[in-house]
Amino acid sequence: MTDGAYEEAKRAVERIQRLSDDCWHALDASCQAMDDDAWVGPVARQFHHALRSGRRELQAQLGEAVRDARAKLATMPGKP
Amino acid sequence: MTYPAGDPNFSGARMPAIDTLVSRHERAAFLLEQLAGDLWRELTGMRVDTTPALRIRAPAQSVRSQTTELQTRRTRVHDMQRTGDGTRLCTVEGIFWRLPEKAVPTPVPGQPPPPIQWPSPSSCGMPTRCRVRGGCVRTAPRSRRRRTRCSVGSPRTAYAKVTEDSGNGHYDIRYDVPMLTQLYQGSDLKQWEAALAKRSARNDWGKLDPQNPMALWAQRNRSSSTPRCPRPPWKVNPRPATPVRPPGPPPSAPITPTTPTPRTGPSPTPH
Repeated sequence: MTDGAYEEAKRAVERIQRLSDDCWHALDASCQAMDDDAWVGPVARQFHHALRSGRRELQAQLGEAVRDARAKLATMPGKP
Repeated sequence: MTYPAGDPNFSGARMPAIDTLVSRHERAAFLLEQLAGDLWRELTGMRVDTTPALRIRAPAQSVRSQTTELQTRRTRVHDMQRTGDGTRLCTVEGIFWRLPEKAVPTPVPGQPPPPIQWPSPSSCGMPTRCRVRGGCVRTAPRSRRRRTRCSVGSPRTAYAKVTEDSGNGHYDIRYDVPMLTQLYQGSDLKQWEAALAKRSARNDWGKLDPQNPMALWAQRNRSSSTPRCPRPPWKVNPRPATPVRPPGPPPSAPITPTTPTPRTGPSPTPH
């Protein structure tokens, strides 16, 4: 019974890791396009700044989610 | 820092780059929305703190609103490039089209104008009958309901649109709504049935050469095998299909004139 719960939790951690990997670079392409001067001006600079901080926030939250999930998995009774 | 346009206060966009920016940002908005939901679900399933998923919602919402604003700007740049007017700045990196600071939706010919965003009375915390200057519009409940009901996407307008611009009188199946909606019950069916009866009477099926063992077997054993479905299947107690009427008022309803008869005053024309 506990093995099933542990396996399920391990699969959930893998799914969360995959989600994090897929969306890690979600805002990278827009940042690159803004670095290539797609849109210039004072408003554009604010947008670029907001984009970079949004990307940092996204990556921080994704990392925290993965860390929390792995910590929860470590506390669970593992396979004998 | 060197500004690409030279002047730090010049605001504009470069043509191929802004298209890639907008498309990538749209994709990012979609990804973040999906991510927020999926991550919350996974974390809840694991009974882990869902704060990261809730915190991702804020960037997701801001990316979505940024996307709509960028789309407005991109439409404006396309419009300027198409018509040729608008200030442009040619640099080594490319041609920058000058944009205003605020993203105002550009009317594009061929598309309906963007809907006017009425400020909803619920957005401000004031009661509905308020007189805030420059704030929410004071509206009676009935007029507010009428304004928010939109008839653009309703089936009635879609049907009317297809038959309206019907190819200047020439037939085109694209404008033949009964044909497209399977309402056609023409005389061709009778001709086909007569031809089928003639063929089966003479047992002349033309140059049929199926080479398919199943078809050959069926041809040999047509009379002997008891078919599940009777031949011909359309002649056995057909249930008449319910006719599909285009949406609108039913014709059986009596058309009562609702407009009152006009009462004309004395004629102003001098005799």
